[in-house]
Amino acid sequence: MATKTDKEGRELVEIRYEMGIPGTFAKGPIMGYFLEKLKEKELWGTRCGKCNNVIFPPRVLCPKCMVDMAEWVKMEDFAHIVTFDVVHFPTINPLTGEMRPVPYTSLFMVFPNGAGFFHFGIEHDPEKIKPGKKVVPVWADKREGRPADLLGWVLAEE
Amino acid sequence: MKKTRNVAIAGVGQTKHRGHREDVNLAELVSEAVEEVLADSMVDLSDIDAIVHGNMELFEGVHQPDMWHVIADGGYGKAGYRITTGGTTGTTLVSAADHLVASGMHDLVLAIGFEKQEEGMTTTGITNMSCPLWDREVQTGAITGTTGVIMMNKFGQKAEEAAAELRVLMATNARKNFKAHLRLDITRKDVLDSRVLAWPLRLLHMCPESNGACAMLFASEEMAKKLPQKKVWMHDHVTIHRQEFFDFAHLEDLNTHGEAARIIYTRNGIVNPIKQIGVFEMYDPSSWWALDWLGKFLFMENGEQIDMVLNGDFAIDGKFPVNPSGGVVSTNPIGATAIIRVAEAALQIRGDADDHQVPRDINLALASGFGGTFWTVLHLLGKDKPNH
Amino acid sequence: MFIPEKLPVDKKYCGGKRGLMSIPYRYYAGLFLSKALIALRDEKKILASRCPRCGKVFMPPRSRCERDFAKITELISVGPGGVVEEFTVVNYDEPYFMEKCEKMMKAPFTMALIKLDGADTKFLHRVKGTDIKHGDRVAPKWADERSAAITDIEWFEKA
Repeated sequence: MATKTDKEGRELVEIRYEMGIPGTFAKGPIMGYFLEKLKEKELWGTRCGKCNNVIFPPRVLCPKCMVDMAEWVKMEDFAHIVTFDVVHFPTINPLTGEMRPVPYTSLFMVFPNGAGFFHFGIEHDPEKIKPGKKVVPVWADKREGRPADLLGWVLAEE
Repeated sequence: MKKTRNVAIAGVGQTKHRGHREDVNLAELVSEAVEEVLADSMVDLSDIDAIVHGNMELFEGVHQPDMWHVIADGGYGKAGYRITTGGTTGTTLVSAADHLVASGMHDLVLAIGFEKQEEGMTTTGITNMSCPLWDREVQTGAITGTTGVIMMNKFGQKAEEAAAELRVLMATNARKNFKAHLRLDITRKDVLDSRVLAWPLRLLHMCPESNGACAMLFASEEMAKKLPQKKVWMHDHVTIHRQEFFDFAHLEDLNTHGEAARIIYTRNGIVNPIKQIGVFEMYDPSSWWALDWLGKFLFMENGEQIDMVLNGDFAIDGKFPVNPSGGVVSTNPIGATAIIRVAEAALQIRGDADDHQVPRDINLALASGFGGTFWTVLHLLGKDKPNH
Repeated sequence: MFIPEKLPVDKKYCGGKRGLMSIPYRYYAGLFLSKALIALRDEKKILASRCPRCGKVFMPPRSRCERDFAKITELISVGPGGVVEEFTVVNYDEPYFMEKCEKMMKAPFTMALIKLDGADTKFLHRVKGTDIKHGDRVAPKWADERSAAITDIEWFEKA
């Protein structure tokens, strides 16, 4: 606890603290299967039997039709860029409590079967990243069934 | 919308929104807005039946702020509701207060939105809305240039000019509003030269982090008749929600603004929004989003709004005034941001917006809220009682 | 738990992913409360606030009266002695608090709602020892190093 002096010379009490709440997120059978398959460099989504849309990462229910998903779908090992963010504004990642290194790139991508998703891009030059370009995943050497098993996506060789 | 009884806005209060408010704590900040709404409506706190109260808890790290704020909002012994729907919090507060009065449950309901953003870390707080098993690892919070990328690809350089021009317009409006946080004197070049946050989104395109609160009083028709302040009537509102992830592969799915507008216009006989609606207070987290969304609210599929921006049609004295208050890019205490839209729209109808008053008679005003993964809350207010 | 029948799922994939929600915060006491906290540090004085309308004395000091919404600007000295109104004995050291919080007391000790002389509200603080009962008179034990915080009173002890 400390005090600071404002512009008008008044002493004001200021408390700085870090709220760090540890927790455990339930994976459930669907995300559990999905995360497990990351170890084998496989990406899986689920398909709705009513609207036929594929959702990736997989969900138990189709958010639009509110019906159970019909089946597992193995995704292709490439996707296309829809749009992207190259972020130059450093923020704290609440999952680690540490500052994210900048710049980092968030890619919004679509699989050939129409499932849209987002993840990191390895390329940070907005001139090189273009909507419609093909990207492929880059896997970590050591995979533990976590989102970080997938390091990100790079532009595929033409 | 079918209503049991009419609801009127009986008063409006807001703090001056500033980047630093170290001189007050959260509760004291809220009480400033409450004090002003009581003065504006000339109502005694003891006449108020219920309080609807909202912010984003993770932005200040205070759990159950409604409990703390009993001393600041006069909630002792009254019914209280806490609402927190992200960016739309303020507009949802208004929807809830409207329902509470329209239902016959309460006659006078106070809605309060507030945020003291200097106390937390906005983007880190927002990131926690995403699935921790996947999206949270790659979330960028509200810092996103995706809409800019899409618009640049569709409309080219002209879109970038228009986004910058829209920001300059908001700054011009904000300078007329002494309660606005950023009252900048900037040019299109300043915007385009500012630092890149997420290309093509630049620092000046983006909304600030503000400290402020806004309170509004809602009254039943019978109660409103007894109150001295000029009345503004709640005509209609609609909320459109989405699933918990951004589906950028299906862009039409993200057109919640268009969906909301279509419903509001259809239900209220609006065939030409530009002509029939006198002012639009739009939730514009960034000028890029504002540029895109104007097209969505006004059903302009070929980017006609870009030319309108460059033409000055959205200025205070233009064809369709947008955000005479300076908008969200000038003032953004998040839990209060959306309720400020409704409050400002109401002040415009009353003719009480002082220096940023639209110089003509306004019969209908539109106010929007935005949050979550493209969630929209849209309110229509009017000078005359609605015909149900 | 909800498990859809149609989708081939296996319970063996269920489990937990360890996570964290870590966010830095600041809190500003505001000008009014700061004055009272600074008085703890500089003068070893406990200040409460008095409502100009109903006369209620708030400890800890509040700048608004919860009953009549009057703005409070007056700080008055209360205590330092007071009476234990309600209490509970703490027998457990929460490891997280012991590690993360400054100036934690080791169990066993007593948490008590104390009504200071001259105040109308009770406020929460620690009382040394466990042999406490309702109505006991207590007095503050001041910390040698004070930082304008409520922990500038290390604990209360039987007077």
